[in-house]
Amino acid sequence: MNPLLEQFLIESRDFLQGIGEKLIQLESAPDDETLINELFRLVHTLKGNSGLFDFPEMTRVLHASEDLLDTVRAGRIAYTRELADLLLDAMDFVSMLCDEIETEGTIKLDHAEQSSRLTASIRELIEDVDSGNSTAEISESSNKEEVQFNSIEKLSIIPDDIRTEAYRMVMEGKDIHYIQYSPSEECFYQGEDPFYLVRQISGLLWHDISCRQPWPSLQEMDAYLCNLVFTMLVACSREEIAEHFRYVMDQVEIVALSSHELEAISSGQGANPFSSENQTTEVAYEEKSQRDFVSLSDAERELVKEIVTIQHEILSLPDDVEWFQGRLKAVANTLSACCVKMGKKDAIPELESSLKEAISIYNSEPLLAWLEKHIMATYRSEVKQLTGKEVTEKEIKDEPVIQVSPVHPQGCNRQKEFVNSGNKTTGKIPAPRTEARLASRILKVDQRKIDRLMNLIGEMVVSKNALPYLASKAEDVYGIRELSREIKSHYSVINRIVEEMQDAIMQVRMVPVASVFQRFPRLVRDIANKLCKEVELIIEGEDTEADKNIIESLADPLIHIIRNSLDHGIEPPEERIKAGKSAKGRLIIRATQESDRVVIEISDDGRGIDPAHIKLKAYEKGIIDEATLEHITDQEAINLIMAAGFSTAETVSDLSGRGVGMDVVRSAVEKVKGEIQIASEKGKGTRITLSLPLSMAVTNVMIVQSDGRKFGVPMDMVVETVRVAQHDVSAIKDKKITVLRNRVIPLFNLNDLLGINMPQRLNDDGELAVLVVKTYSGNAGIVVDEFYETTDIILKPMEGILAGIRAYAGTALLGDGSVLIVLNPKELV
Amino acid sequence: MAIEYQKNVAFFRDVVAVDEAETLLEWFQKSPEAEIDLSDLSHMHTACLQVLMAVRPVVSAWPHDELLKKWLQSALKK
Amino acid sequence: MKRILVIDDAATVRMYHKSILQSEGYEVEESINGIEAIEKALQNPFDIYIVDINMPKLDGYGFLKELRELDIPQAPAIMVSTESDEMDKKKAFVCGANYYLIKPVKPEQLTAVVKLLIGEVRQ
Repeated sequence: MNPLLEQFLIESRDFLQGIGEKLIQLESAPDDETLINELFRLVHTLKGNSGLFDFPEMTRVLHASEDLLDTVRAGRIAYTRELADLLLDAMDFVSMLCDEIETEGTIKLDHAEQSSRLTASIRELIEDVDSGNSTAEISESSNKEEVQFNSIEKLSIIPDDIRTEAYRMVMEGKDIHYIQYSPSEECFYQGEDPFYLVRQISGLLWHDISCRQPWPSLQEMDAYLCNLVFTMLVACSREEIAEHFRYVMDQVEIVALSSHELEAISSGQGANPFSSENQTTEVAYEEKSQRDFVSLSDAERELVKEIVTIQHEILSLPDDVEWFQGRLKAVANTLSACCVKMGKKDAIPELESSLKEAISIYNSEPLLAWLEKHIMATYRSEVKQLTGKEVTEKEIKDEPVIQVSPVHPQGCNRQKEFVNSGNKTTGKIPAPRTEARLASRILKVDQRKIDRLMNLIGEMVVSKNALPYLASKAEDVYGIRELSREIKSHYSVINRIVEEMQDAIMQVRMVPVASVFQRFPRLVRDIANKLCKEVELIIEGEDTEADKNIIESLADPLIHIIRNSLDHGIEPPEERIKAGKSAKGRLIIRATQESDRVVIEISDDGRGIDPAHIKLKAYEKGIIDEATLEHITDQEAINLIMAAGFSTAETVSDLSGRGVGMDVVRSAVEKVKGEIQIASEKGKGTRITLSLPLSMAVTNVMIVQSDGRKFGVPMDMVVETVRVAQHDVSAIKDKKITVLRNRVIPLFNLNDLLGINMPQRLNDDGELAVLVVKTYSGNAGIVVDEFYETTDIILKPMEGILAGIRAYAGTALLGDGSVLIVLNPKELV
Repeated sequence: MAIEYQKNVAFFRDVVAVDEAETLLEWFQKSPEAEIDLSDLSHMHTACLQVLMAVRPVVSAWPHDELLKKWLQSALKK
Repeated sequence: MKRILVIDDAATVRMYHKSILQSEGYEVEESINGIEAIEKALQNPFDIYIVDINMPKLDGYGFLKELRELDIPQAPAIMVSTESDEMDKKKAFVCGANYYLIKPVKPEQLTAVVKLLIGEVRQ
C-alpha cells in the first residue's frame, strides 16, 4: 500500500477514536466550549485529510458533520441526543470505509447511497436551523420537488453512458442540472437566436433538440415562428445557468438532479449502468485526469501576477501592527523572488533600498511606489492593450514576462483531451486562476469616466430614437413595408441592448445610503446635547442602494429634516413627561426600496404639527388668503410648511437657521425627481417620507416651440395639451384664465415667462396651444406656439452661473446634435 | 449568401443568418428531395435549423466542427 | 539546498506536502503546531513556510505574527486551509502570509507556487 494512504488510515483511526470519545463526553457536558472546539478541529482535520484522496463518499459525510458542528459551536443549534446519534452513525460509517480501504484498497460504489443518506440527514438538521421561519423558501423547494418528479420521465431519454457519467459527477459533489428551454414563438423578431445561446452553455453533457408542435406541411410552415424545444444536461451551477439564460429565464426550466434520481431512472429501466465496475472506474479515472490537467505555462504567468497582486494588497494594509517590519521584509523577499522569475533582476537593488526606506519611516509607501514603477505599470499597459485593441493569446505569450518552463511534462500529451472536453473543465481550473480573478475583482474608476459613459449612453438613447421615425418614413414616404418591418425589428434589438447597457452603468453608480446615514448618529447626539433633549436614534435599511448623485443630493435635505425634528418636533424631557410620553424621544430613519424608488422615512414621536397654527401663520405671512384660510384641509395646511418663505418656530433657533426652511428641502428633493410627503398628528409626532428614483434615468420630455425656439418640458409634469380658441380666454383682474372641464386654469404666455417680448402665435384656426402643467398651486396653462413630439433624453443639470436659475431644469443633447433647454414649469409659473 | 443552392444540393457555409430561412424554405418547397452539405458551416440561425428539422433532408456532409455536428445530429438524425 | 518548513497538525497532510516537495528536490522539515515551528525557525531559518490555519496550541495566524516579529530573515509564507472565504484570506495576509492555497492542494499547484516564491532570502 502507498505510504501516504497508510499514514492516512493510521491517523484517521486516532481521530475517529478521539471524535467518538468527545461526542460521548459532550452528552454529559453539552455546553463545554473547549470540548466542542476540539471536536470540531478533529472532524475538520479528518475531512481535510480525506480530501487528499479520491474518497468522495467519505469526504462528503465528514464535510456535513463539520458544518453541523460549526452550527453547534456557533450556538445556533443545541447539542442533543439525536444529534449525537447521527454523528456517531456518521463516524461509524467513516470507520467502516477506512476498514474497506485497508482491505480492498478502495471504496466500493455501493456505499454511495448510504453516504448520500447520511449527508442528507445531517444537512437536514443544519437546514432546519437555517431556514427558521422563512416560509417562502419552503414553498419554493416543495415546488421544485414537484418539477423534479415530472422530469424523471423525461430523463429516461438520456443515454445510459451519459447518465453514468452524470451520476459519478453528482457523487463527486458537482452540480448537475437538467435544462429545458422553450423559446417563445416570436423570439426571432426580438433578435434572439436560441440555438446560438444553447451552443454557448458550459459544462454540456448531453443535449437534444425537438419540436414543440408537430411540423405542419412545408407549404404551410412559417419559418419565423419558433417551434423548437432544447433540452440539456449540464454540469454547472444553477447561478451560472440562470446567468447564461438571463434574458429568457421565463422560458427556461432548470431541475437539479440528485444521484438518487439518476439512479432511480436507470434501475427502473432494468439496465443498471453501475453493474460493471470496470466501466465506472474508467470513467472516474478519465474524470480525474481531465480535472488535474492544467496548462502550466499560462498558469505560471498568471500565478506571478496573482502573487504580485497579493503583495500589493498586503502593502496597502494598515501598518499599525507589531509585526509590520517582518511583514514588509517577507513581502520584499517575495517580490524579489518574483523579479528573478520574471527576468527583472535589475530592479532588485532598488527594491532593497525601498525596503530600507519603508522600514525607517515605518510606512509601506516606498515599496508600493517601487511595485507601481517596476511591475504594476507593466500589467496596466497590458490591460490597456487588451482593451484598446484585440490582442491575441499568442501576442500576450510572446511578451517577455516570464520564462516558461513546463512543470508537468505529461501535460502536453493531454492537451487534446482537454480541448475535447471543452467547457467541462473550465469550472475546475485549479485555484490560483480563480483567486487571481477574485483579487482583481474590485476596480477603482474615476467618476468622470463613468459620467462620460453615462453621457454616451444618453446620446445612444437619443440616437436610437431616430429608428422608429426612419421606419415610418420608409413605409409612408418611400412605401417599402418590408424595410420598415426590418428596421423595427432591429430597433427592438438595439433598444434592448441600450436598456441593458444603461442599467449596467446605473448599477456601477449605485452606492448604499449608509454613506450618508453614517454621519447621523454623531449629528443627532451633538444637536440633542445642545438642545438638552434626550433622543434615541434608530437607523434601518442602511444597505439600500441608489444612484450616487441621488444619495449625495439627499445629504443636505436629510440633515435639515433631522434638525427640524430635533429642534421643533421632539420636546424637552419635562414637557414629554407631562404629555405622558417617555423622557427620551425617538427618531427613526428608515430606508427601503420600493420597486424602482428608494423611500426614506424620517419619523419622530414629538409634538407634531398643529394645522391651526400653520394656517394662521400662513395667513399672517400672506401665503394664503382669507378664502383659502376658510376651506383649507388639515393636510393641505401641513403641506404649507413646504411653501416658500415659511418658518414656524416661534423663535428662530441657531440650528435651523433663518430663511432656510422646508421649501429648500422640497426643491432639493424635487431636483432629483423625488417626492416629499409629510404626515403629522398633533401631540403624536411627524413622519416625513422622501421617495426618490433609484437612478437618474432617462427623462421623457415633450418638445414645445415658442418664438422660434424649442424647449423641453418633462412629461411627468404635463397634465394635458389643449387648443383653446381665443374667445375662450377671459380675464380675472389682470390675469388671463380659461375654463377647462369646469375648472379655472390660469394662463401664462411662455414668452412672457421667459422675458421675450413677443405675443404667442395662433394656429390657422385662431387657437392657442396650451400646455397644462402641475404647479405647486394646482394646474396652470402655459401658452406656447406649437407642440411637438415627446422624446427620451438624459437631463444634464445646469452648470456654473446658470445653475442658480431654477426655471431651467437642465439641458439635453438631441439626436441631431442640437442642445435642448428643459424647463421646470413648477418654478417658471 | 451563406447558402449556395446548386441543382439538388444546398451548401451551407460560415454563418447562416436568420433572413435566409425564408429562401431556404421556399427552395425546399420546390425541391423537397434536395440534399444539404454542411461541411463548412460554423453556425446557422435557429430559424434555418427548424426549417431543416421540418424538411428532414438527406445530409451529404456534416460540419467539420465536432460540437456543432453533435448538436445538428441530435436535431436531424431521429 | 533550499529548506522548507511544513506546519500542520495532521500527519497525513504533512506527509503529503513533504513527499511532493521532496520529489522536487527540496529539504523539508515538519512541525505539528505553531510553537514548535517558531522554535525550529529560530534555530535555523527556512526559505519558505507552508502553514495550516487550524492547529492546537498556536494556530497558523498566531504563528505568522510571531514569525514576522522575529529577528531572522523573513521568508515568504504560504497559508494552506480548507476555508475559501475571503475573510480568512484577508486575515492570513494581515498576519504575514504571502500566498494562500485551498486544501486539498494539488501537487502541481504547490510546486508551482513554491518554485516561484523560493529565492534569496535576505536579512
